[in-house]
Amino acid sequence: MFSDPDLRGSIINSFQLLIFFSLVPVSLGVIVASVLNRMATGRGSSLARAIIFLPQIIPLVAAGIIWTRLLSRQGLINQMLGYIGLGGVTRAWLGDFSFALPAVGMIGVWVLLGFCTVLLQTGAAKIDPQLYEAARLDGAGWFDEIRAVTLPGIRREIGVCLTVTSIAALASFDIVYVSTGGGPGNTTSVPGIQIYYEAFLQRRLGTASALSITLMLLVLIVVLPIQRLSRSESR
Amino acid sequence: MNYGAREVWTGRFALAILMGFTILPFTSIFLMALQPSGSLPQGLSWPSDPQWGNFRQAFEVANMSALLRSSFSIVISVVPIAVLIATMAGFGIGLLQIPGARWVLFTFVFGLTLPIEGIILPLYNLMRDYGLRTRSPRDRPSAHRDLHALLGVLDERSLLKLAERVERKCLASTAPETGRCSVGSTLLWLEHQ
Repeated sequence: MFSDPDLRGSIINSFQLLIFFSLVPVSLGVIVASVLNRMATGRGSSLARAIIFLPQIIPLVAAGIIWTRLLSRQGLINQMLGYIGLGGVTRAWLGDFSFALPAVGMIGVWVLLGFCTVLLQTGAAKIDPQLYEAARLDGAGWFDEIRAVTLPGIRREIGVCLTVTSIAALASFDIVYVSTGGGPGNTTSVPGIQIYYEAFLQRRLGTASALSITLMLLVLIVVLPIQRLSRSESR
Repeated sequence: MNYGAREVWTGRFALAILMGFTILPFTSIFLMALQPSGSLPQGLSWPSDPQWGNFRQAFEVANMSALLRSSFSIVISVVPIAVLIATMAGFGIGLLQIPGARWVLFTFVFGLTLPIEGIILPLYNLMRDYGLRTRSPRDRPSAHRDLHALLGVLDERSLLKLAERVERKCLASTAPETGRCSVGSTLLWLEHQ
């Protein structure tokens, strides 16, 4: 399995997807949760939370279908880029060798941001408001508040978010299968896609099973330290 | 807590942009659903003659009512049981300090890491052994159809057949995956028709 460059490449791609599926949504989620908790109140806050959570309630396959359309050459994203004078950078994002993987990653950001935001906001709501008051009296700005008060207060929630989104990144299948099928070339291929092709198209069940086990171990290697870190530091 | 007006409005503006980014794809797909068949709409524009009948047609063509009934029957049986068991497990691990709680939790996290494709392979073999793969001459067997069936695109007859013929233990492991993926797989199936 490790001698096959396609299979090796798919594992590397899934680690690149970690940035988009995990780091970006969690980082953005912390900021959005902080804004929702501290600056948006009443109905506005509830409405914003509901809208941002919307992508979570649709199947990943539907998300893939919608974004495939939006990111096509004639799609809305290119049209909007054209309106703001960036017509020169337009392209078929999911068919471009350099941009296909980031484009798939952006679909992941869209899907997972709502989950991270809601979870992190729930954690941030438990932080004592007096801590923010004290930080303000010490001259802390909004960013300092996040760094010194919010982040330590939601460490466990961040651990859960990182765990779930890392699993979503490494074991991704639906979004990639629907939007690119692993192409162009093998630039967006991930282990989930390779397992499917090996098992159901190539009929090489042995290789597919070996890749399944490897994928499981990879996920554990990434997830267990996150769990350990978030639990130990929150004690 | 008092924030400066600039700080508050910057935060709200960023939030509004994010909401726009979130809702844009939904708006796009909704407007596309109202377009006449065969047309290729550009951008976001309300169609001159909205085709509300597209929704009815989609349900008929895909036989959605049967698929949704299957999904619904799985959801109402799986979700309450899963929530009940998860609540009891969480209570036991978190509050009762049962011996070996750490290992139980580890097992759960391990279960979470199982790739669906890894579960599908044994299920695929299991279903093949029980003769539950699509065998009708009209629906000739193919890897796609097998996978979709496994992911949950089962009609009621297949579902009942599965319930009758597969051991309860096997069904218990099939049901959560089937329930979780049924709606997604319906669309996956539709995508390839």
